[in-house]
Amino acid sequence: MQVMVHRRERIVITAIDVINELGVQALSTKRIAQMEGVSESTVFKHFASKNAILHAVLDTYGQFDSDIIESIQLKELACIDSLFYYTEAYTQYYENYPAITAITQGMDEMRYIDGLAPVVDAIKSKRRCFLMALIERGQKEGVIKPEVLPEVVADIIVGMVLASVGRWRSESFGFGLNRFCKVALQVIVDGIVINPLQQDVCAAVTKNER
Amino acid sequence: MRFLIVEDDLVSRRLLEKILGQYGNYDLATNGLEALELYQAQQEKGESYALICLDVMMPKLDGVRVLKAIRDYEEKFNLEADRKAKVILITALGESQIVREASAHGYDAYLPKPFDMTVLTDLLKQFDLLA
Repeated sequence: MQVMVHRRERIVITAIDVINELGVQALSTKRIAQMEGVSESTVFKHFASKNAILHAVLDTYGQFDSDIIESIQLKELACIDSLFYYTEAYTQYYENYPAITAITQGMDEMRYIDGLAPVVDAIKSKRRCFLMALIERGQKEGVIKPEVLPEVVADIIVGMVLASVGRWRSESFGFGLNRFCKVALQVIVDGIVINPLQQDVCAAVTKNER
Repeated sequence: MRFLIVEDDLVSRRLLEKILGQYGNYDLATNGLEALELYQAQQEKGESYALICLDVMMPKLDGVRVLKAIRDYEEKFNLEADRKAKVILITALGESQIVREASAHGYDAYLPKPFDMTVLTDLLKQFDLLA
């Protein structure tokens, strides 16, 4: 296995597992070395410090952000479909990789670690800004009510996913996260679209295409 | 003939099993690390996968890094052409940056999700894998 997977990549994967099982505070280069079956000096060959490992963990956490956004643009999805695609891309990924949701929950804690606040803020800002842009687009297209504030809707959607992930984790991943968030997002969308009938048409067309 | 299905989504995985199962045996991996473990085990037995269906957005190690690791392995151990796997990249992400990065490592075909079964079968035919 050592032949195929670079030690640096393994360290990041192990770090995510540690955070998932024990929390951000429990992460240490010593613990990672133990779990990897190597010396701490081997870990330091790849990462200068624990903070550097956490930086790489955050990079991994946000690695698909640009691709998901670009994918929506390439597919030229309607704005409501884009909202569902965007949310589902994450919740489906989280459902298949439960450990990564420890980072979702741990990001606020990571903000207080030296050098990580800008990284955390950049990830959150990028996701929020994209949601706001989708809402604004929907308003321009006459699909979303002009009186809703894009930043409010974006925060509601982000908050919904965060709360769902938190409950999912505390309930030992005992319900379908992706399905639950789709239902919850539909509730939000129903409240912001101008014409519910238009939304039903979009949903029916999308369902047929799937 | 042996295939490797690397896919974390249950529905897509079932579909791939159904199609590929008609033409040979297969192994399943639901994350990138598992995929490389299976790949290396196969190589160490002196065998190889005829085809790897590789999802991009996956737990632990994404499909592009898996692809790179496989191609690096093939180069490092100077594998003969018949020991090198055909790789079909499968993704719902469209031809975004990560897929463009993958092209630098060399995949043989790209299949967007949700994928068409007939397109996959055509690819198998094109790769001469319909034994």
